[in-house]
Amino acid sequence: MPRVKFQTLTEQMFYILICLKDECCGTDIMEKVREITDGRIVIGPGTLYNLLEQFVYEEIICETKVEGRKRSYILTEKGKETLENEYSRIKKQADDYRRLFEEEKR
Amino acid sequence: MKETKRRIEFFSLYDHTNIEKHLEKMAAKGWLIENIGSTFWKYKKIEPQKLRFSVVYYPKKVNEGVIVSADRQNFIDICSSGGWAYVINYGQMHIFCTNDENTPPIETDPEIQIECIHKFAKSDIITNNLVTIGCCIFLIAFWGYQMLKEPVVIITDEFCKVWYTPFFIAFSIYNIFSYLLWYRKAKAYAENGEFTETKRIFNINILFWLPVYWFSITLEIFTLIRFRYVLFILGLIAAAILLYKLFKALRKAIGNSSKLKDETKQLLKGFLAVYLVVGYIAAGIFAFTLIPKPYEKVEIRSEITGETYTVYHDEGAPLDISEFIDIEDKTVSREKSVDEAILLKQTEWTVYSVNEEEYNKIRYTITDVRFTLILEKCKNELIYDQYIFGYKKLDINSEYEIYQAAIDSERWSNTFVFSNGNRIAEIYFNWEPSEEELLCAAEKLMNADV
Repeated sequence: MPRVKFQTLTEQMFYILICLKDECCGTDIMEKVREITDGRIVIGPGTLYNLLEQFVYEEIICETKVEGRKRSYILTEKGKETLENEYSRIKKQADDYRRLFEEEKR
Repeated sequence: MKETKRRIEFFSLYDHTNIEKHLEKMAAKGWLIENIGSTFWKYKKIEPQKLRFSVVYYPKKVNEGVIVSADRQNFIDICSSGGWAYVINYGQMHIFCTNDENTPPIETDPEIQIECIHKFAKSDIITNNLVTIGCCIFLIAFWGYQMLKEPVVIITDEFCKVWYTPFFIAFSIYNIFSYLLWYRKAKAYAENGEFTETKRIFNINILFWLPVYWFSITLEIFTLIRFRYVLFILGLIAAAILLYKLFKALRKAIGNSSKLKDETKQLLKGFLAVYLVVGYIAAGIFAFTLIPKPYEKVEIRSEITGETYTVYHDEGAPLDISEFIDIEDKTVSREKSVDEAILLKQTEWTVYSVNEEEYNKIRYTITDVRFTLILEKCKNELIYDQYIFGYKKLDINSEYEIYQAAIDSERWSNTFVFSNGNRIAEIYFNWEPSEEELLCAAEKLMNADV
């Protein structure tokens, strides 16, 4: 079954959204993600372009300004919510893991 | 040294994996893609270098105009900031390259990649092939409709108009299905985050179809006999091309003999080429020897009018005018024309004496229907529909059905039709034949070996 759009996020989506907590230019996102994850997550430019388009369409992010050919984006309220949901989902996963495996150790 | 090079490429445009590999090979040989057309791909000369190519599909419709849309420019900018230089595009298909081996790929999410490819395929591969299928079906339906009305004319003259449509349909279906199969598989893999390579599909380029069109047009213009010349010429052209390829391959094989594997490949190609060349030449010669000798033509002077006439001596006429009148044989002209198709064969003979005092003429057409199912339709066309003023079935004691056509609403003509089994024969006399003459003609025509 195909994934319901943006109900859960892939790692690449997650990190793009994290970068857009503050206003950020599209082309800078790739570099920023690489820095944050220490090169673990790499986003290809085509994938980035498509995700930005889709995020804007779903109103998860919005375009803030267009300077020449540079476009900048920022998270919307809906985006923050999406990101928060994802965070609590991942956190729950981590909690469950911890509960099961660390209890075993005790 | 040439600065540009054109090649015919048989890629299906969604086949990014193989296009990328191909472009990398070309760049290593010193040719960079410069333009993609519907038939030719144009390359320009560069220093041979190791380049990585990426073929990606821009998700929105592209209207080729002077101004590159801001959106598309944004896409190109993002890619270039990711280390990929824009090379060219063909509609939605965009080609980028880089010389850095460590540049991350343009597409890092298989699901998104496949979404884009599918959008492209829907507007390109699938639409084009569906249009082709639609056109073919329309052609066949139209032909079928005419076929029901006038089978003889359609079979002998217009059969060639549709013979290639089943091939078109088959290829189109093959193209669509192979794409859809790939799409289904790739989508399933993409859900697990895996990329799927595209497979090479032999896409029929428009240039490939040109000979087919040409072939069918020639078939229409020339009679079947002259068509053999065309086949011969086609064979020669193909042989010339293959010989050239063979020569190039051999030169290459000798040039870099260090690579044994390549050498073997070239040798195999060489063998194949020789095989094809020999085959073509043999087929050509065979076709050539089958061409019948031209009719023997004699110019004779009429003793009565003093004018010169051309007399054709085409042998083998099943019914000769000397059956009916006593005549000097050298003044008799016999002309034959044959219309042959898979479903039926029509042979027409015109036999007449050029000596004006005893100017006599018969013209007859023998139609053999080879496919019983269309026999009734053919009879309809050749007897019932042909004579607008009507016809009558003659009450003559004969094993054949004999019909006589009317000239107008009051008079009967000297045109008769015999019908028996799969043969329909029509004969015209320029005099009023007696019943005995008519029966003689029927006997000869219905038993003739044509």
